Amino acid sequence: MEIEKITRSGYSSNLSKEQLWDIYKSMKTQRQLEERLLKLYKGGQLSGAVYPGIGQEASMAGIAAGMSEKDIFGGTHRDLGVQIKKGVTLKEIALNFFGKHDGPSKGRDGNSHFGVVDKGTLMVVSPLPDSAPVAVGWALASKLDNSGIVAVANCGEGATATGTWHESINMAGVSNLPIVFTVQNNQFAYSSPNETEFGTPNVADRGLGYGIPSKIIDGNDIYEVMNTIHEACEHARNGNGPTLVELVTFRHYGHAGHDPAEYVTKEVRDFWMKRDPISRFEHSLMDESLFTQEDFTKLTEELENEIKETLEWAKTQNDPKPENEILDIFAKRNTEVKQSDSSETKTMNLIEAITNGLDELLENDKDVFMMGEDIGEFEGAFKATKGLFAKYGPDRILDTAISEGAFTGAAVGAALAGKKPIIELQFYDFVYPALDQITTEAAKYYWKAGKSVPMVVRGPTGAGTRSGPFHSISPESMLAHHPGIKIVAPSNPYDAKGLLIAATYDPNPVMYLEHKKLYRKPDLKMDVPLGLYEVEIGKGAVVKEGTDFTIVTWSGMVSVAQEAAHALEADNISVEIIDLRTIVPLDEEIILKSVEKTSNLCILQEDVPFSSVASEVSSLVAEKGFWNLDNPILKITPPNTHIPFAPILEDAFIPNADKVVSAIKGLQ
Amino acid sequence: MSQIVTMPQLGETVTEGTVLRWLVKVGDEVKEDDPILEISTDKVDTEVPSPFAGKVTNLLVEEGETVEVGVGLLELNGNAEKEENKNNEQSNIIPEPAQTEKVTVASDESQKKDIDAIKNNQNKNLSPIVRRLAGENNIDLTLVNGSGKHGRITRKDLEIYISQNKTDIEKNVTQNTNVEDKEVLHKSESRASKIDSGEITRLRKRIAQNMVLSKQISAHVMTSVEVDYESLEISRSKFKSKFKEDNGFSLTYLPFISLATISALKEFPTVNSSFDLEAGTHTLHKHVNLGIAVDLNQEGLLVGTIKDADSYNLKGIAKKISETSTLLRSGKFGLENVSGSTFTISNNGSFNSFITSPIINQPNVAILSTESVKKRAVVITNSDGSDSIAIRHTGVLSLTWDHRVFDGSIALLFLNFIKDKLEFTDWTQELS
Repeated sequence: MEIEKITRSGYSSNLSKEQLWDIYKSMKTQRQLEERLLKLYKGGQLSGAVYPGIGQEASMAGIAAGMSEKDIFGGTHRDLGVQIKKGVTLKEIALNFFGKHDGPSKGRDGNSHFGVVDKGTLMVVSPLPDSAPVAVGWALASKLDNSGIVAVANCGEGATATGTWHESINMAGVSNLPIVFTVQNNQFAYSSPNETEFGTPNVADRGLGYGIPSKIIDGNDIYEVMNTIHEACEHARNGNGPTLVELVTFRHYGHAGHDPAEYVTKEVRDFWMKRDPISRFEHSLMDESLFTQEDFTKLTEELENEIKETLEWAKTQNDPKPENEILDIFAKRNTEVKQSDSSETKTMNLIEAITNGLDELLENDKDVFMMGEDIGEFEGAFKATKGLFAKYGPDRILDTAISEGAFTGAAVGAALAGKKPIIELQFYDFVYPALDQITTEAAKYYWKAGKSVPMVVRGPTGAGTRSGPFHSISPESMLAHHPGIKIVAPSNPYDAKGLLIAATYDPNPVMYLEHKKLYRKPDLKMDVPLGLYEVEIGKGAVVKEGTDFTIVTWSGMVSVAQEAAHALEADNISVEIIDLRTIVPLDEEIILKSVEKTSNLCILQEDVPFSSVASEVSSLVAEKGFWNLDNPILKITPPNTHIPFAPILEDAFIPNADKVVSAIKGLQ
Repeated sequence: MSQIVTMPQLGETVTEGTVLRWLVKVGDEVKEDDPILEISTDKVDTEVPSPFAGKVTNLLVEEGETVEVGVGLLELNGNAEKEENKNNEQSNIIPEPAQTEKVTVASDESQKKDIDAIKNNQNKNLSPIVRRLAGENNIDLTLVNGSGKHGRITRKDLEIYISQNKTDIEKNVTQNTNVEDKEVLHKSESRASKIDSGEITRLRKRIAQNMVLSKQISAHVMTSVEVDYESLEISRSKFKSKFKEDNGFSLTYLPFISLATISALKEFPTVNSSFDLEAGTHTLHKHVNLGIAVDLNQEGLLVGTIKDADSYNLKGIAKKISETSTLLRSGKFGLENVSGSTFTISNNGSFNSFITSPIINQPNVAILSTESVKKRAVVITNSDGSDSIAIRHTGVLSLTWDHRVFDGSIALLFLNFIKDKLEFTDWTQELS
């Protein structure tokens, strides 16, 4: 079989013999490792899956070779070649494949689903291309800090059909970020050929739609790949924005170890085998008289032994210990809690306290910045960022396109790069498009990749403003179901500012829920200290002491509970009110202690009841406070339905003091 | 192999019993019939004898706890550890073996107790905190007034009760820690003496409940007849000194009336029956188990039962009546002595009554009250048909009967049958 020739030019012409050998070796390592893993997998020696990228070695090694060492790469499960060239070792890979304790993901994810952030590869996750917005965020941080780092967001052509990819590339284009989007078009998304994936002739055609330069290159020509990527990276590094590069290539095997790829015709396979990237590279190196066939054969043998030995070694390494690893969900904070050193206070309503908190955070910490829709010159839909754009400018108060997925993922990337992003969801109802990034990336980063993600997702929640079903949700229960994110929901201005500051300095993603009905509630106005102070996350508060009945509530329902408690005094029923303030982690102690005192529990929440925080608190007390209970636990919630618009319907939906009073009296 | 002693069925209407006091502890060796604990039920406070011999390996119920009939109380010859595991599986709480000498109750124990209480239908509306506090303070919840929905006892009710009865509760705990055996009735007596403090004794409460219950169940009607005891009195006078000498107790009217009543019951089996309207059953009893109301020196009332009373002659029945009242007053009686009556006699005449309307002893359908026998002036018809006034020993017999079960005709035929028996039987022959 005649092999199509490749020749060096441009950037690759300047590479030394050693550099070329290094690239060649990484390609061979990838191929031989993946062949070996495939054998182990098929022989029942390996759990999970293997996703061979054999046939795409030039694309992978070329991407890595075109990047600088400090540049960051966000890719997929089929990017082992990039990871190897970026410096991830055979040992690290082997440990991860066997789910070992010392592997990059500590056994929390398997096979090629890992990254080594310190070596410049982002955590690999299965939903694709979810690392793209994260890479965008890293590029954003690079731009804000002028660090000269370029991000590469890579995926296969299949993942370019997703909203995540389009949002990411759009955001990068709009913000002119130092990032390169690479697409390894290996002809098939699992089994689906190009014709069923996109309507344009090429993937690269889409770049024009985002106002960024695009290129289509031979992904099996190592020289062309590294030349192009190097050029695109430098273009980005020099402040000229993103490039989209389509690397046309072919994977020799199926999508994964189990897939025989029978959907590939003989003609297609023959066509691509003539263009095998390693054979082409070897011919070129021999043509240049740099290396001989003996060199290649010798390396093959060496690698064969090294790979076998490393895999055997990995098998014998320590497994993770369930008791130590299974609950390792939150990064521990190691910075001091802020205490206000100012005795000055100012009377504020809740939204003023939030704005004041944001202002002081921005002023005191250069790493704090904000992203969101219309938060800049317009100062936000609810004016939470009032005065901030004028004071801090567009680099700190970033207006984004309507793309919650992209800017939430970007917050993850920026946080990984050392920033403290605070993002605003215009309404918390729009957390749904962001949820993939929150749960797949933000919530799992510390757990799986050992890197903490300090970020705050804030925005208005709650019903009662005649805003209908899509501007009114209370998302705490839905969010709380996902391990790895903290959730706070203040009910007054003091807590609002204190929790915002605590959330910003927490090393974990914190969902900060602002009930929009409380923003300007006149009777909530109070004196709020000026200067940074914190309300500790994870601690509830007894906002009213009582002896007969405990009401556990939070956010907008605290004032409803107070009203009900006042009414119940007429019946000689003394109510204790617990404001949870933090939903996750839940302050179990304050709840159980109060129930121990009153023996009666009512949970009052604005969120719908099924599988909710109320269910959780109820379950907690039934489990740990059972012997203190004197009555069935009451849950006062809306009906299990959507939030309606018509005032008469919305008023009937939201729990009120009368409902609380009659439910409690109904037990007496 | 382990054996479990269960809460006995203490009378027909009884569904539960309260453990008053353990008389054994884990590790004790007991013989068959050894008393192992004191229990209290609607009917009676009594000792439970061990049905088996062996080593006590687990006390399954705490003092003060009320459990359903059939619930396990004590385990003999078991593997305690195994039993614990079993409980553990059920409840995830490891119960400690109960100890007789324990003032403070560990929460684990009270929790275990509460779990047993859950099985108890009567207690199904007790909340966890009420169960726990009651267990910890050794409180009989039947004595606590419930102010909650449907009369449920709330934590507040219990706390008020505890604060009001603080001294007694402490004393109660102390009593239960006393190793020395004490008679149940003595406890009742000592409590009765404190009535001015507002506490109702267990016995009084039981009587009160039974009385009200009976009034709710039965359609009470009282009917009476006048009996001429002259002939009987002549025979009794003649034999009473010798009788006392022979038997050690006085020959009263009661044995005569009892014997006549037993005959009447055989003649009118409807009166010797049980009637369950809900179940739709009417049971005519083949034998007469005669209930005799025994006054406990004004500290309460118990009904002693003379099983198969229809098998005794006059002397026999007199002896049984005397034995029964002595036994009941001593407090050392068993369940069999106070349960299973088919008809009851209340001897009010001994307190010089003229006429009484007693309350039926459930599940009987009638109760006879004997009234005082006195010399009275009565009109008698001479053998020549002329009338004259004579001094005769007479007295009233009152019968309260359940109009649901039969009607006035049976009541009067029954009463007159007794009257005739008493007036026309040759008692001299019976006594000689």
